[in-house]
Amino acid sequence: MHKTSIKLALALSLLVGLVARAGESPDKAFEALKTYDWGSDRAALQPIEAAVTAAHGDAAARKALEARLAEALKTEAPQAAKDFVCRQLSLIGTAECVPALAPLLLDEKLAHMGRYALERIPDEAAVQALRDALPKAEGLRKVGVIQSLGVRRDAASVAALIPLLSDANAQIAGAAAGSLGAIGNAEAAKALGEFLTKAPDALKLAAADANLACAERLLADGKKTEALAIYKTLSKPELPKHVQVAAQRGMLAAMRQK
Amino acid sequence: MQANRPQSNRRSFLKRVGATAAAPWILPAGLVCGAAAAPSNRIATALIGSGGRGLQIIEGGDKVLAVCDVDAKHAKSAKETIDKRSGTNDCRVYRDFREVLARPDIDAVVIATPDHWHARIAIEAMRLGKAVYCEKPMTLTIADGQRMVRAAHRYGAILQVGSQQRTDEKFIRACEFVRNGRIGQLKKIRVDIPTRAGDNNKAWKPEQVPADLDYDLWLGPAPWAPYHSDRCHYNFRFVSDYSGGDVTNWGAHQLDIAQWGLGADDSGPVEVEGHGERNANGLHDAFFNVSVDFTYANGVKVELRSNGNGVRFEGTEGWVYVSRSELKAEPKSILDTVPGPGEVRLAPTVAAKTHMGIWLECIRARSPKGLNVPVEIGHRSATVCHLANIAMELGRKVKWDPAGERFVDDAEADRMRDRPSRAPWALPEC
Repeated sequence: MHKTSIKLALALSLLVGLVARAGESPDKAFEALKTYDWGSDRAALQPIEAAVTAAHGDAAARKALEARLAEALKTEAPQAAKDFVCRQLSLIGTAECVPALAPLLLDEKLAHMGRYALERIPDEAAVQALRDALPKAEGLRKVGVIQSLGVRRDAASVAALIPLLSDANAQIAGAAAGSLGAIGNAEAAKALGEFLTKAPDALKLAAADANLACAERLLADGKKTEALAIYKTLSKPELPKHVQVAAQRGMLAAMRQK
Repeated sequence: MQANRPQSNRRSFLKRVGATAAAPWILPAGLVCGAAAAPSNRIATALIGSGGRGLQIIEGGDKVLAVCDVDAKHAKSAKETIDKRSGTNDCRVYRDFREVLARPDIDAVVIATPDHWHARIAIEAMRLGKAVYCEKPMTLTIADGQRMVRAAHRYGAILQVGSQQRTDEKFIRACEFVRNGRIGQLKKIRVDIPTRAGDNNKAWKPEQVPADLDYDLWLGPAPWAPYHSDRCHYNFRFVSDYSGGDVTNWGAHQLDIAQWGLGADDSGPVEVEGHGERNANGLHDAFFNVSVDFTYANGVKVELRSNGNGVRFEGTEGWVYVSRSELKAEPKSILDTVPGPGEVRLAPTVAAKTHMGIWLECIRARSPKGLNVPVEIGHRSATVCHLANIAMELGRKVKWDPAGERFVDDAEADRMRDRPSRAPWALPEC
C-alpha cells in the first residue's frame, strides 16, 4: 500500500512536471536555440519539444511553432541547433516549412537532416523539394535525395531517375536502381530490366534486387503479367542461384494470386 | 484445349519449382566444396559487431571465419578469442561488413552491432544469400522491421532473432500453461523490466575520435553527431538515435514473452498509453522508469513497468510468473501439467537445444521452419517496444492497427514509424 502510494506520487509529480513544461513559453528556448551547440544544455530546448507535443490537435499552435522553427533555419544558428529544428519539423512540418528546409538538401553538413524532415512530411511540396534538388545535388547528397524519392515512392521522379542508372558513380547508380524498384511501375520495370543486362559487376546484385522489389510492387498493384515477366528474366541460370530461387518464389506467389 | 494450357503450365511449373523455391538458397560452403562430412557440415560464419555481446553469442556458433568491427581494437581482440577457441588462425579481421558479406565462403552472419545497424547489415546479407542471426532488439524502427520481413520473404532467408528466452524451458512452459488455459481466461499481463537512465546526463564536449575507430561507419544510417565515448560501445543503448533504451533492450525479451503467451506473434496491441522519464540533459536520452499500458483486441491488458525482470500472466483461475530464475504458478498444481493431445506446444521442433544451435540446424536443413524466433516474430515483438517509446514520446494514447501496421487516424504518430537514413544507407527497395 505504501509502495503504491509512493509510485502514484512519483507518477503524479512526473505528470505535473510535464504539464508545467508544456505550459512554459518556448520564447526562452528559441533564444537558447540561437547559440545551441553540440553538448550544450539540452534542457534549455525542452520547452520547444514540449510545445511540439502539446500542439497535437491544435492547428493554430502547430502553425505558429512551425513558422518559428522554419525561421530558425534561416539564421546563423549552429549545426546542432538546426539538427534539433529539423527533428521537430519532421514531426509537425507541413508545406509551410518546405521552403526553409529545401536549401538544406544541398548543404554539406545539413543535407541529411533536411531529408530527415522532408521525407517525413506527407505534403506533396516536400516531395517536390526533393525532385527539385535531384539535378543540383552531388555525391552523397544526391544519393540521399534519390533514396528519399524511393522511400516516398515518387512515380513522378522515374524519368529523372532512369538516366542515373548509367551514372559513373556506383553509389548513385545503385541508389537509382533501388528507388526505381521501390516505385515499381511499368516504366521503372522497363528501365530496370535493361539495367540488369548492362549493370557493372559491382551492381549486378543491386540490379537483381531492384528488379525483385519492382516485381513485388507490380504484383501488389495487381499487375501479375508484368511481375511474372520480371521473375522469368531473373530465373535465368546466369544469375546467382539465390536470385533464381527468389524469382521462383516470386513466381509461385504470383501464380497463387487470384 | 487452348484455354486449358496456361493452367496446365501453371500446374507443371508449380510442381517443377515448388520443391526448390520453397527452400531458401543456402548451402553450407563446405558442402559446396565437397569437403569431408563432419567438418564440412559446419556452417562458415562471420561475426559482425564483436563487442562483449557478440563474443558471448558467437561462442555457440560454428566455424567462425571472419570478425568485423569498426573498432579495430575490438576486432583484434575478438579474433584472438575466436582463434584460441578454434585452435586455428583462420579468423580474418574486417572493418567494413560489406567486405565480409562479399566472401562466397561465408554461409551465415551473426549481427551484434548497435541496433541502428541491424536492418542494413541483415538485408545486405540476405541479398547475398546468407543466413542471419540478428541480436535483439531486431530493429530501431517499425519500418526497418517491415523491410527485414520483406527481404527475408523475398529470399527465403533463414533469420533467427536473439530473443533467446524462447529457447528456455521456463518461458516455454509458462507460455504453454497460459495458451492452454491453465489459468483460465487470460486477463492481464504484468511485464517488469529493468530500465536504466544512462550516466551521461550533463552538458558534454565533443571528444577526439580514437584512432582505432571508424566513427563515420559506426554512425552509418544515424544522423551525424560529433564523437563522444558515451555514444559508443555499450552506451549506445541509452542514445535514442541508435537504440530504444532498455524498453527495447529488455522489452525484446519480456514483451516478446507477453506476445508469445498471448498468442499474438502475428499481431500486436490496439492501444498504447504511458509515460517515462528521460534525462533532461546530456547524451543519454532514452526512456527509463517507464509505465506503459497496452490493450489487445481481445481485451487483455499488458502493463509494462520498470520494476524487476519477469512476466506475470493473470487469468480468471490463477496466475503464472516467469523470469530467468524461476517459474511459479497459482494454483501450484499448474506446474505439474504438460500439454495434452491437441494442445499448444511451444518447445523447439528441432533437435538442437540452444538458440544458436536451432539456427545452425535450420541452415543445415535449408529450412526456416524450425526457427523459434524468425524475422516475423522479431519484428512484431520489436514493434511492441517501439510503440511504447512512440506513445511516451508523444505523451498521449495512440491507437494501432496491427493488421495494417499503421496508427489509426494519427498521421503524426505514423511519421515516427520510420527514420530517414543518412546516405547511402537508406533501403527504399525493401
